[in-house]
Amino acid sequence: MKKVTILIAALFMVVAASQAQSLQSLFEKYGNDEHFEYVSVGKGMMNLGGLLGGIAKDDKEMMSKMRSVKILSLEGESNASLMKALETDLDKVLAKGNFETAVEVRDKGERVNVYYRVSDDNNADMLIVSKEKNEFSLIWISGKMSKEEMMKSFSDKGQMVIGLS
Amino acid sequence: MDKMNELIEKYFRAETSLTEENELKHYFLAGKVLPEHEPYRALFEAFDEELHETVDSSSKKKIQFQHYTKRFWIQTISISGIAATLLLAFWFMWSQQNNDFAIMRGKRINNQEYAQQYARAKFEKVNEALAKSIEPMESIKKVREGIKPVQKINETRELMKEIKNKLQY
Repeated sequence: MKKVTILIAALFMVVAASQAQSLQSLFEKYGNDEHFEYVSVGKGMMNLGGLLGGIAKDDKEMMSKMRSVKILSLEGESNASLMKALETDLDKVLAKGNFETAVEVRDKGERVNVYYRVSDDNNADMLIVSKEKNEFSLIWISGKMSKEEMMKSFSDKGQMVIGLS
Repeated sequence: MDKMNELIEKYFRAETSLTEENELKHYFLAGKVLPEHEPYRALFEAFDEELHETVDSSSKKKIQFQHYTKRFWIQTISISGIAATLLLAFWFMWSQQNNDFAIMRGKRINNQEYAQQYARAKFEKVNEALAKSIEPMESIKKVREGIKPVQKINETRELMKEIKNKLQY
């Protein structure tokens, strides 16, 4: 019985790792492509945000729970095929990674989708997909927070806490 | 001699004082030991021998070597521990620094400020889009709040109708 429990736990860990890896591998795959812009920001950004002041206490707490922010961006009309390939890969990752839709905004050729997933041990991932005519951006925020806290990162004005810093 | 018997008995009961033990030792070492006390003589002589025993040079070397080995291992473990801690601290600092970077068209830029500014700009852009989407909802909310008094007029009319009907009956 003990062996079975350990085996199941190991299986869960492998599944969880593979889910994270797929998003990670997507960023690594396209991040190293010379057509893309890839930016990775660690906890430092959140700390800097706190130093700048003007941020509510709740927001500071929220920022301290965020571990990293990764941004992948593609610009230019000539990269349409690459954009399509990224979209296809992204759809696969979203389906495989059990992401849920939090927000979907469409406005004059601009589209913003916000997806999230929170594991049982509060490992949270938020993925913001922004698509315009000539630009495609992915913003991946990972942190340690509950589903409620993740939802709270959107203020009542529809703005994200992290953007305030 | 009864005193000696008594002292020997006390000695084996572990009740003798240091003075009494010295007395016993002197008695056995003096050479005038009674035949009935002869079996104990070897024991007290052995104690004296032990007292005057000296460590030969090879044993001394062996002990010194053991001390040296022990000290060597303590030093090695301590130094390794400190080195590991420093290494871990440097690695942690390095990994923290390397968390903020940008890869622009295949070229890595290890500039924390640049990476943070880029991220901020992207967030502002997304925030703008999200805020825009909330605007119509805010307007609807305002319209709803605005028509509240109109809804009250309707309610008042209904109430007046009811009262009229009741008066007619």
